[in-house]
Amino acid sequence: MEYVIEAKNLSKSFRSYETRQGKKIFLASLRRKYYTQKALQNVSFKVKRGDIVMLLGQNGSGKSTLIKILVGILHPDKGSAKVLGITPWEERVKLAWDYGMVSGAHNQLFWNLPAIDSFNYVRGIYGIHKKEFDERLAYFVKILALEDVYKKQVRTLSLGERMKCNFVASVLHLPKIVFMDEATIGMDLPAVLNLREAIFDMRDKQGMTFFITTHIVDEIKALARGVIIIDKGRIVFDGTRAELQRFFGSKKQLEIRFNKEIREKDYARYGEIVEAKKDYLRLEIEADALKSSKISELLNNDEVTDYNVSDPDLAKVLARFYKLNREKRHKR
Amino acid sequence: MHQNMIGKYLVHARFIIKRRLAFKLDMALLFGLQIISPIIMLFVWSAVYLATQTNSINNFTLLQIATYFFVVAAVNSMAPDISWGILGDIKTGGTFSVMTKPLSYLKSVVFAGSANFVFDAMTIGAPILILLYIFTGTALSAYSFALFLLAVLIAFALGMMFNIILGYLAFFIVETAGVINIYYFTIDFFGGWLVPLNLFPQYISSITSVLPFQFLYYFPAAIFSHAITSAQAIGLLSVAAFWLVAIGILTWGVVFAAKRHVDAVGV
Repeated sequence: MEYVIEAKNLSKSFRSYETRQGKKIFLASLRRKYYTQKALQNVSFKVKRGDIVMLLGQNGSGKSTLIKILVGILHPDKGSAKVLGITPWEERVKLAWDYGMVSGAHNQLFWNLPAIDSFNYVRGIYGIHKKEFDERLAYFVKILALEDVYKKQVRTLSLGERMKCNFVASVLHLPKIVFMDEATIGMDLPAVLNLREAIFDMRDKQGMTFFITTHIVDEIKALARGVIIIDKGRIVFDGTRAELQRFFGSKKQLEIRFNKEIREKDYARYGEIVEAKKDYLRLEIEADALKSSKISELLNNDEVTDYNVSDPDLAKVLARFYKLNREKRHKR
Repeated sequence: MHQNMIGKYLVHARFIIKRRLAFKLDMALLFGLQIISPIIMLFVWSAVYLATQTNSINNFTLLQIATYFFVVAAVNSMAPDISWGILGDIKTGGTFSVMTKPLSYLKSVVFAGSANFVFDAMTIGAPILILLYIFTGTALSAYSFALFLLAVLIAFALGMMFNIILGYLAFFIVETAGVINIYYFTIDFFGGWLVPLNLFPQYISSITSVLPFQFLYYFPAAIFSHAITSAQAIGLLSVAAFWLVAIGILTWGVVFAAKRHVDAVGV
């Protein structure tokens, strides 16, 4: 099996400080409290060629730090990593030929020039043949609807338009891996949908690997094949999206509509009540319990007008996941 | 197919110039400023010569003073003021867009500074020297002109290294605007931008003559205005060579140490 990313026990700390508050602003700013922030702690994982892996985590969990180490900008304190067989921080320039980086926090375009100039810059840096460049650009311009955008000065573009152009500038050289750090920020819905299509297309035709961080649940649902969750610098989950949804057991959501107003306490025996209001009830129950006579009896009741069975909502799964880890940390 | 090692930096440099050309009015104003600054100096020194009722001060005539300050303006226009750009990159994360491409940040900075040097030499420096020749008739022998060009290259190389050091300090202390301003004040005074160094009292001249700052403005301007002879200029080249090596080692040390500090700021 070909792995394009292999990280082993990566750790990284930052020394930082908090400025103490006080009425005398100048004196207060001199009173600094230094502390060491552990951004990454023994992070190990592998990513296969052609995978679309989502790196998830709350703000400040270490996602961006991990990506910066994987592209060679930051040096880890300890641990090892190979990206396309290269140790990133030792051979950053060599590795950079073969990856693309799209970041919502960093503009990759020349601010005062039209976006097409930034694309031509990329063409020059990577030595892309004119014919190939024109074909690739035409493809991205069409799929991301950039016809009226890419010849305008970047500073006049909206955030979403800039992000689309940033994406194009980062993948024009058809890299083997694309790192996307909150890269769809500000994009409109059609663009996001088209971008997903482009990602699958590039993955299928070019065998590209995508390593993506996002907080947008729809994106995780649509793109993720693999999911890595990082919390306070530690990997707390590494598996598939389906495995993540099964993480809390094989529970299902059962939504029921009644033809009358219900009393919550009458339904507690069927499972964990997630929501109950007026004629609506949402239960969380074990998948096996769905076939039980108790549930059949409930659903066949004349008072039930409609029902639906679904997997737990991913957003809520993630929120519970984060909460659970926070509680574990506090106990420690 | 990978771009060749030099080619990618030439592309980078070309786009840096293209970025500057986006603001043509600003460029024209800067050119005007470079012309006005020696004219103001000329007025000031004319007043000094008139007040002292003399034709020369320390064997320096008013025509030589005029020549000196126009050459200083020409050299100043070509100075690689890249420290502000590096500082801005580090403070705002601008290093990121270079470091996620197959480019060395240091080399991209050096190539961008060199491109600006060539561009400024063609658009501001050379026109100033041509105007100087037209209005004063000041001309150099081929030998002196070759020495002058060498002096300009030394000024560029030293200025580039000073600017890299000042810019890279931001990797350690983040905000270096104060240090950069102190540097410019220092080179204005000890480099000969404000007053030709040969007009200073002996006790100051003895200090400036061993410092590297004289090579930033005074040395090329003094060659052009005949404040020093060709033989004296050759003698000063050995001092310049010493400082090029010394500042070069310091620059290498700062850049090497900064590599580990990229994580503190800058991305």
